Amino acid sequence: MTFQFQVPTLRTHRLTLRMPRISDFPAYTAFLASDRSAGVGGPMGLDKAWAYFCHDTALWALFGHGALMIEDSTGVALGQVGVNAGPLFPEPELGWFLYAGHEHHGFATEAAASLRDWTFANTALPTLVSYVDRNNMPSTRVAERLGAALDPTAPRPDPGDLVYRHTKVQP
Amino acid sequence: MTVAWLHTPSGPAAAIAATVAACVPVIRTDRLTLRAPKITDYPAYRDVFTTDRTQYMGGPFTPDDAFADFCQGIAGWMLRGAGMWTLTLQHDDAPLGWVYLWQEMGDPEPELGWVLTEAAEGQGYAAEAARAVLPHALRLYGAGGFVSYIDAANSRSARLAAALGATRDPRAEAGMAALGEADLHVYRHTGVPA
Repeated sequence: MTFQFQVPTLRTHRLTLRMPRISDFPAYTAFLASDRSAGVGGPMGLDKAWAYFCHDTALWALFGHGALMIEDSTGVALGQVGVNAGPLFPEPELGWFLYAGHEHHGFATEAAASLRDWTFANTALPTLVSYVDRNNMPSTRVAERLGAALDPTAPRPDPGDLVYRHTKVQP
Repeated sequence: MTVAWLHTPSGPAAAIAATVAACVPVIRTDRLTLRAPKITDYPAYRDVFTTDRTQYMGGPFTPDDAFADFCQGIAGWMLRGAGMWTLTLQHDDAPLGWVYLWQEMGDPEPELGWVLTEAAEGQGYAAEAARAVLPHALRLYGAGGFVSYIDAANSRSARLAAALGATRDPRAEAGMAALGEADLHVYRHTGVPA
């Protein structure tokens, strides 16, 4: 029996984006247990973190897109970027987070731009949204650097969210 | 109602999803096919898990928790090499139920589990499917290396576990009681019954 599924590995100038694996779970859990996870529904305990981790991973099997871990050139995981879909999201969403200590280097923008471009090239999705808590200034700036535009009428999971819309640019 | 996400992917994304599905061994029995889960199975899964049919499995679940459980069964194949099969008739792709070979968060040991839709009950499908998974489980975990966790009140699943040749393990049950699961019976699988 082989477990050779082909989830893409994306490479940017400074980063590698690759499939989540079980060894990522401790750092992922620590992030979701911390106050830094307020923007993605946290802080949360182990059971919910496992549910999130399985969700992020299973999306690849269900939709052919999903989450990738962000790694630096030394192989250290810095956070995650993902394209979410399914019953928990009003429409397909590009999301990101960085673990503590890796902010302010542009890593989230670099990773999210790469996965956004891959998604538009490899799926039938014409647009993506990003749900950003209106008090989450760092993620607001990421969405703006990505060139996404506020969509005031789009449905949102939380009334306090801003919705940024990414649109496929025709080559 | 049209649900935007409730369709199988197309194009390159479909090819990626197919490589994941290909990791799930397809098992055929006299009447059944056990195959990789897909997104279009989810409404049936939600319908089972949000009702009292899952009362012995920690349910009924909220729809969000039902989806989390569905994802856990799929991610298991990708993260740990075992997970959930969707159970269908051989010539009808509609889900009859699900068979699990996994270790749920918090459980001490890998588990062989099953659940059927209401319409599929009473025809021996769970037994047929679970029996077909036993050789796979034995290869993966070894004889005695996996169990079925069954609520003390779930007499139907208890009969099925016994029919599969599993026997209750008092020591493992004491361990589960110490974890706060006092009403859980632990059936240990040691082989394939003749």
